[in-house]
Amino acid sequence: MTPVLEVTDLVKHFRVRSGLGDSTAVVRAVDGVSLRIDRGEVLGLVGESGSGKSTVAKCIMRLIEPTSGTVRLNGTDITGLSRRQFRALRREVHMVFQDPYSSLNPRMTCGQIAEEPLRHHRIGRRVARSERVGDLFEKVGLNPQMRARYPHELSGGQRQRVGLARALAVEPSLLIADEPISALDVSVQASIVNLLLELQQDMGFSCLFVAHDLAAVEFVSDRIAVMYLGKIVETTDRQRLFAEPRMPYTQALLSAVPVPDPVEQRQRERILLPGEMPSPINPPSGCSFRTRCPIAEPQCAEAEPLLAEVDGDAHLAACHLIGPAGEAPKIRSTVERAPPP
Amino acid sequence: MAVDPSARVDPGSLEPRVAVPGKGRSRRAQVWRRFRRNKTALVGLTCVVLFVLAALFAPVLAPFTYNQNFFEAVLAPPGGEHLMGTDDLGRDIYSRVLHGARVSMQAAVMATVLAMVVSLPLGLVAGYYRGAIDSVIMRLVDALLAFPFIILAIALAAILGPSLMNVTIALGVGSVPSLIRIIRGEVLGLREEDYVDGAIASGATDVSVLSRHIVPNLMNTLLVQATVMIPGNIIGEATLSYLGLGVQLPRPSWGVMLNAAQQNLSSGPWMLVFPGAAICIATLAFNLFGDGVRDVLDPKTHR
Repeated sequence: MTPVLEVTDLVKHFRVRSGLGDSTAVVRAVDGVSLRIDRGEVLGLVGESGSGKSTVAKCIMRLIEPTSGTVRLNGTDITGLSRRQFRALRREVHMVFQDPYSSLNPRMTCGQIAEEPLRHHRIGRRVARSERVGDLFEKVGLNPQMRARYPHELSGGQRQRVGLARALAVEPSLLIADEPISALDVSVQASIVNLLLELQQDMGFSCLFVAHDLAAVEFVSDRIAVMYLGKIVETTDRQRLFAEPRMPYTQALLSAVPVPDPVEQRQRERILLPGEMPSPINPPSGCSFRTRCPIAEPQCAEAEPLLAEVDGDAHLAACHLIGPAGEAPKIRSTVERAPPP
Repeated sequence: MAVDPSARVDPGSLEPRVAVPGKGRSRRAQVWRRFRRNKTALVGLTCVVLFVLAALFAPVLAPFTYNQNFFEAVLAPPGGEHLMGTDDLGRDIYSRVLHGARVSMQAAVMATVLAMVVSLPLGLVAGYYRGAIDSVIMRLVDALLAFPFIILAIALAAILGPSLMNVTIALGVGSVPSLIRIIRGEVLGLREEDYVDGAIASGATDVSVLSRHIVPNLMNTLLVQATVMIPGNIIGEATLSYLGLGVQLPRPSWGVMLNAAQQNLSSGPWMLVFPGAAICIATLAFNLFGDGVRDVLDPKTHR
């Protein structure tokens, strides 16, 4: 069966003017990303801000034109299509944006916003579309009467529901959720994540869930891909990633997720990474993570580690220090355990 | 983020689902409420309305026609039968000021509309598509901006020949370059909004993105620009008419009246005072009104 989404060697370089004069620098926002999402699967894409995960999402939507690489949507390579050709295919994929405030046109009613994809793809007549929007509003947990409201009259959570209604109006086979909850209050984050998951199970669409919140990603994803500095450094299914992370970066990320039990939380070993992510204008040689890796060795600066199988083809990681049998490199805790209060 | 699979909640139950239809506070009502608080702007609005009414109903309101000569009362001082006196040809100044308002408003409003109609498509194309077409349009605009507005307008009016229509065209085209630049700048910002991406993702064509998403969000800017351009055009029309490039005799324009007053400064200063005051008050009123409009509408001054 063809995967819903197959991204191969996606690259996006931005040219920026640096300093005085005409000298330009290249920002390697996305530097060779490959992904696959099967039918009905939810892939979580995690990484720090600046790791390029939103750029990947926008390249898949062709809101940004990728520099190179291919994006196959249900088997069709969309990178080679003209804008006009791709417009017809946009039925297959839609997106929920991070900011529920700027992603809805303040001059349109929520009903008009949710109806937009139906109108552009000429689905149904006016009355039928209006009915469909009413159903959609029910589906995303909004009172259908809200159709007449303007976005500024709604709360952040309600707006995100309108965004979800718009994205699902034409029943796409792929939903791209670009940090859909990070701009929301913590109290409504859970309800939006629950809604998303419920709709996913109900409608069966595949989903690329972009986030920096590991707890949310763990909750929704079947598989998870970890991005660092424009590259995917580890990818596997959810259980394996949380149980046996291989890449030191993944280990550090996981150790930062708080656990609900305060006693356990106090005694956990946490790996604190020094410094910040290097600039994508001038990435380090070899392994891009070596500048912050607590166990980096000289060989890490020489060659770039490639994504390799560590445990069959279901678990890929990019690290020189992974053992021959796929065992994860051991990292000592860099944080002293907090003394008992 | 505390999500526990066992504690699934009904979507929406965490948020109030109240929606009282009809109770939605309309944007327009809100804008008007904010505008009303600004007293100077209200004064401006009142004067603007008066001027517009004067312009519309000049033939009804004026006691005489603008061209009727009272040879027995040449250069009569204000008061009596002639509220604002008469001019050197014995014409009633009050009637002429009212008819002058008509010419003024017509030229100012039409010139503003003309400028919008010409600038909007060019600004949209330049800002939305950028690239080569943007460069071409903006270099032309830069070249035209090298001339001050009034010089450009005088040159155009001189080439086209004197008439109300030509003054309107000259003023309208004269303000096109700066207006294109403003619209382009605004479009550059709007095209980066997420909702534009959302529309593109929904399968919208460029025409649809521009007409349904960018232009409606440009309206505030255009309205604010219009209230700034109208007083400028009132003065522009008066200037061109004063120079003899505007409305042709015997139709009265405030500028034409000022020109005539110049020769009779000592014998009939009221010939200068009333049209001059009309220009002053009209532009001041539009400016005050415009400032109020900008305060409530311009996204840059507050949000």
